[in-house]
Amino acid sequence: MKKILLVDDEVALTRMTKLVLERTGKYEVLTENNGSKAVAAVRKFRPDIIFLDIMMPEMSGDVIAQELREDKELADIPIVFLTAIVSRTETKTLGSVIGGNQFLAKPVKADDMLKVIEELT
Amino acid sequence: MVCSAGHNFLTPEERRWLSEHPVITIGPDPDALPFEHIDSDGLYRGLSADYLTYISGVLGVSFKVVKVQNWAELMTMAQQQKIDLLPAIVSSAPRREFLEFTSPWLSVPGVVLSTQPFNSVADLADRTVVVVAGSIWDDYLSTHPVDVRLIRVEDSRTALELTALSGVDAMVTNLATATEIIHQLGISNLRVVLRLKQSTDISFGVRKDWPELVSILNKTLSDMDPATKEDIRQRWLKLEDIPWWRNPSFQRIGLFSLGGFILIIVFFVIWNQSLKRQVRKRSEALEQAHQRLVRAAKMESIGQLAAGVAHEVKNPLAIISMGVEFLNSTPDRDETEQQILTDMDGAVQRADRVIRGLLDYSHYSKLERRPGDINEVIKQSLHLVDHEMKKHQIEVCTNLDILETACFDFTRIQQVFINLFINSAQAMGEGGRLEIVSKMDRLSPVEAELSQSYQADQWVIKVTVTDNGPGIDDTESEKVFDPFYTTKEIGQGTGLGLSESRNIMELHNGTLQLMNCEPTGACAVVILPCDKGVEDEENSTC
Repeated sequence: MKKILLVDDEVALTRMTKLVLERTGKYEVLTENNGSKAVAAVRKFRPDIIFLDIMMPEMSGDVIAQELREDKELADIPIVFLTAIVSRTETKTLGSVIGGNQFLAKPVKADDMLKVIEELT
Repeated sequence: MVCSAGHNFLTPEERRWLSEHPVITIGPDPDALPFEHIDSDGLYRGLSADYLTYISGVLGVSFKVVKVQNWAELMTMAQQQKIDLLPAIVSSAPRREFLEFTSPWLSVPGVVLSTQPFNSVADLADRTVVVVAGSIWDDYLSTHPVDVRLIRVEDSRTALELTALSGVDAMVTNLATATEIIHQLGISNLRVVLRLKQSTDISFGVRKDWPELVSILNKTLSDMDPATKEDIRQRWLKLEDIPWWRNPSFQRIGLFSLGGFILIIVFFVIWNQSLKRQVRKRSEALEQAHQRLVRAAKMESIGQLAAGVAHEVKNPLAIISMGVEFLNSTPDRDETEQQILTDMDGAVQRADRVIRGLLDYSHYSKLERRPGDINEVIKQSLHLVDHEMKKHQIEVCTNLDILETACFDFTRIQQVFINLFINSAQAMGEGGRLEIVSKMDRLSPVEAELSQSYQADQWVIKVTVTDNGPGIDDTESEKVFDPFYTTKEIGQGTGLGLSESRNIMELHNGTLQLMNCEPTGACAVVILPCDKGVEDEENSTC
């Protein structure tokens, strides 16, 4: 079973998303709502993929991604950014600006998440 | 003439002489107004005539007029003593050989008349100067040190006419004669260029063998009441220089000055108008720049607000969306529950679109300009909206001329055209015709006023999108570019399309205008400068 780490300060969102993903029966989902604890959670949980919100109060997603990239053991874990600040015209460019593998714009469709998971893991 | 007895200031001898000479022949110059002349009725008139009338009354003598043709004849007869008295004559050495002169009864300045400027008599050297033959001025110039080319004529009138017609360079005469004849002939181009030291002192010239008469006349003149003298003078003398306003030099100078003055006025008027235009243009440019600044400031605020709203709203939307997905995956839902979930999902998507539209509107991302063909953008935009057009059975016609390459952000400009096409389609409803025309054009002066970066006659790319829908309400024509303004049904549009499109065009230093077209429908005019040399801020390839 593949392991997914959801990092987002929105508690209800991570709870809802965990329910949807685990209902498929294919994934084990861990949620972390405190950005500053995200790196430790990755180290401990060793997920196959990380969904990372960008705008978080304690530590933003791009900083977390940078820390993970600097750790050789964790650098290869695919990261998918979740962001609310995406206009229609920015959809295709944002990933390259931030430097992550992929991004998804909120509100995220479960199907889109599942598709990305299958692509990257 | 009526005569009366002599005056008591005379000596007995003088009275006896008068009684022995009751009739004295006189020879007035036939053409010497104002001094004397023989008028058209053959009557002797003038200053001297009035003086002699007075003298005749005082002395009790008669004066008999001897008529001659001209002055020369007069002088000849005087020499022959066929005339006793010349009433108006200037004393000179040659004349004193055959005449005795009384004290002058009138003194008139001598003048040089001409159409040309002369500063002194010396300037007359080698110039042609006309005088009346045998006149004092003939004597004057004949003996003057300055060597002039003297032209002699019979009378003053001839002399003046000759001078006015520039047949000679100048005329010398007395001011009184000159003024009289100039008035008579209406000569306007002569002016007094010099006043001579020599004046015309008019005396009675008496035959040399009648010295008694000289004494009698002198006494009579001395006894004459000054008021009477003044009356006579006033009656006949118009001693005036040529009026200053008839002075040719003055007229020349005046004309040049007036012309120069008018030129200066015209220059100032043109300069003033030009300044006003510049001030107006700069004020407009300043106003435009100010408005841009205000707009930019507003946009920055809106941008920040949009980002904040997006974040705070999108998370709850995400939660709802994920919740709907979860519920959708649960089995055994009835139709009503399914409908509710569908409506919830639709509402989330609509809210998401609004947020994205707001982010698009507020986001001043840097343009990625690349050289390209606007016609390609038009074609691709039409391709993207093709389904929408067919769905509403809208006929699409294009007339795309060959265009210059322009530098633009493909995605952004495509967004503009898609907005315009969709707006037109929605305005027309079912059926209708959408026409797109692209061409190279020169900006008219009116169009050049649309943007500070425009210049009249500048080449631009012009795309006109015309529909045959209901057109725009005149009261709404400017509001259509306001953010969130929409006439569409709720959920059919955010109202940001036109506002956003105009912003995009302004970022490209272009313009977007919307207006009603004949006979019906709306026209959107997109103008884009052909600015191949424009550099983008970062990674332009133009």
